[in-house]
Amino acid sequence: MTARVAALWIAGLLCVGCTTRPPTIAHVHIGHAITGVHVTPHEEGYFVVAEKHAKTVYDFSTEASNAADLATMKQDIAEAVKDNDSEPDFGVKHAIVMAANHINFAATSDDASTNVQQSAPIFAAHVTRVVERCDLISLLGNDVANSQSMDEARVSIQQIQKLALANISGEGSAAGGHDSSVPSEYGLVQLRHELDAMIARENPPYRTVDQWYLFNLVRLPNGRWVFDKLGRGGNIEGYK
Amino acid sequence: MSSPRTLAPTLALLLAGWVTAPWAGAVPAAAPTPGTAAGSAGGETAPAACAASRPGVAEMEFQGTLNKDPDAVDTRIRLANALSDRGCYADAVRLLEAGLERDPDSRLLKERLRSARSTQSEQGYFEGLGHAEEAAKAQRNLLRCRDLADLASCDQALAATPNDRDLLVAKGDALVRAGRPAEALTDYDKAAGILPADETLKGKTAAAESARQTFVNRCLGEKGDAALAACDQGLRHGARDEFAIYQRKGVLLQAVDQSARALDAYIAAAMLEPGDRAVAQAIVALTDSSARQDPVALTARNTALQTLGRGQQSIATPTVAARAIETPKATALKAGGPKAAAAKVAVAAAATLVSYSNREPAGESH
Repeated sequence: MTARVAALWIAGLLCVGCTTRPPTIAHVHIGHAITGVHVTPHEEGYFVVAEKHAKTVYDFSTEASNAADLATMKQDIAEAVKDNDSEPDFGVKHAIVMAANHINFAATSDDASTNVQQSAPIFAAHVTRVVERCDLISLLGNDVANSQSMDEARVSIQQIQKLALANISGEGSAAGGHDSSVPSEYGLVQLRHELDAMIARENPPYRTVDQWYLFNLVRLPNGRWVFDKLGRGGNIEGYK
Repeated sequence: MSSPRTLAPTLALLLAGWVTAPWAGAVPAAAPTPGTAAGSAGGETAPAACAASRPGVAEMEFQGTLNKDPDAVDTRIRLANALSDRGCYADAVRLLEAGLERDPDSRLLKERLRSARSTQSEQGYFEGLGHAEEAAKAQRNLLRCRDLADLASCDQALAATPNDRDLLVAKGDALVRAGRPAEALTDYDKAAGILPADETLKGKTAAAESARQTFVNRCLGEKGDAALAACDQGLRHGARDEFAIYQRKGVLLQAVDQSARALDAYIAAAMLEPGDRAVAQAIVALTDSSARQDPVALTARNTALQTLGRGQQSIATPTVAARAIETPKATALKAGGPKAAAAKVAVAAAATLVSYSNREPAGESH
């Protein structure tokens, strides 16, 4: 009797396992932004990478602003710029653009909810302010590299530091503490809230996507997104 | 970790229902249509591409077919694809929306419309990224102009937005810091023309004018290279002291034996006050002593002679005219191509100057 009950229980669980559906393609794309993707240095999601690098940019710019000589200033800012815009290392700019791209991929997936379809363009539009700050940090970083004096370098460094802080927590914090509730003032903190809110609205609910799905979503030559069940690889375009 | 190839460890998790089976069935994605966000070209075509392009033969055929049969979903979708290919995303959306009004239950139209709307919004995203780059450049230039008085950055910024009041004021500030208050006043005036000057701008203008006056005083009261430099720094076109500065510059240049440049300064002064005898005398003396035979110098000499009441000496105007015209004319004849064209322009310019010099000065009678 006990054995029969146990067998039925196991069979029941197996049925649950068998009938559980894989995540939607849209959710896997979202997972690439916020959970993991195999192309980033530590296989972290693009948005997570952007958050980490944004902090490093701020740290290096702070060190530069405290530096006692021009050479150290230039060295620190060179590091900050690398974390800001390096493509191979997924600097802030590249990482946030990729995050936005994948949220857009999610919205264009066949199985995207109306919520994702409507939220993605808004998120993408709000990302551009962070990108703009990244572009400005790069330009000012170049100015620091070409500076002839500490005074000249300091003007750009102070600005880089402000921009780096704004990229983390919004322009309000960089300007003295008010909330950055306007999209044009958004930093990654506000963008993270926006993503979290979009995910919270998902129905059926979003669940953290398993790594296998995150790393095995491939795009076939005909443009269809599928999971690479047989490990054959494929043309994954934006994923490499 | 949970790959099908590592089935055994995964099975335990599956039993608990924690992970889902990858082989339970992939969710098919729609085949991409040209210009959709899923396609690599999605959003890369700017709206300008739509405006610049023309419908292809196929697109016109689709349009013709659709005009005859507006309910042909397939044709409507093909036409939408063709429009997307040309970057006309908004048109594609409108076309599909119209189709959905006719056939609200069409799954194909719904899918294609969703894709088209997504592409349209993605297009806005890419445009936003492009604008971000331009905005960053503008901010960088403003920062360097404002905080470092970097005039090259001021000019770059103003080239993009010539009527930006803040930029004009920032450039004015940078010019003051560079010791060029006269030029700063020009930018402050432009800024005030865009928006009436506030107290801050009025204060800046007054300070710049005061700094300019210091240079003017040095120009008029001192001697040597420092005075000459002060003349340049204090010179402002349209100012009441412009004539005095040019005249003084002529005197200072004459004193250091720079006859050609002195003559230029006197000619400039003469253009401001044609009847000034002292300037006229200087022009005649310098054209006599220097080797300047160009049309401008010779024309100025004739005008100066008339001012001095020695108009009869300017009877040589036909000779002047011949000389003024013949030199570039000869060049024009000898040269070919662009040089010839340039020389012809010079001939015309010289002729104009000569005719100007032949006019009788006001008030002089013969």
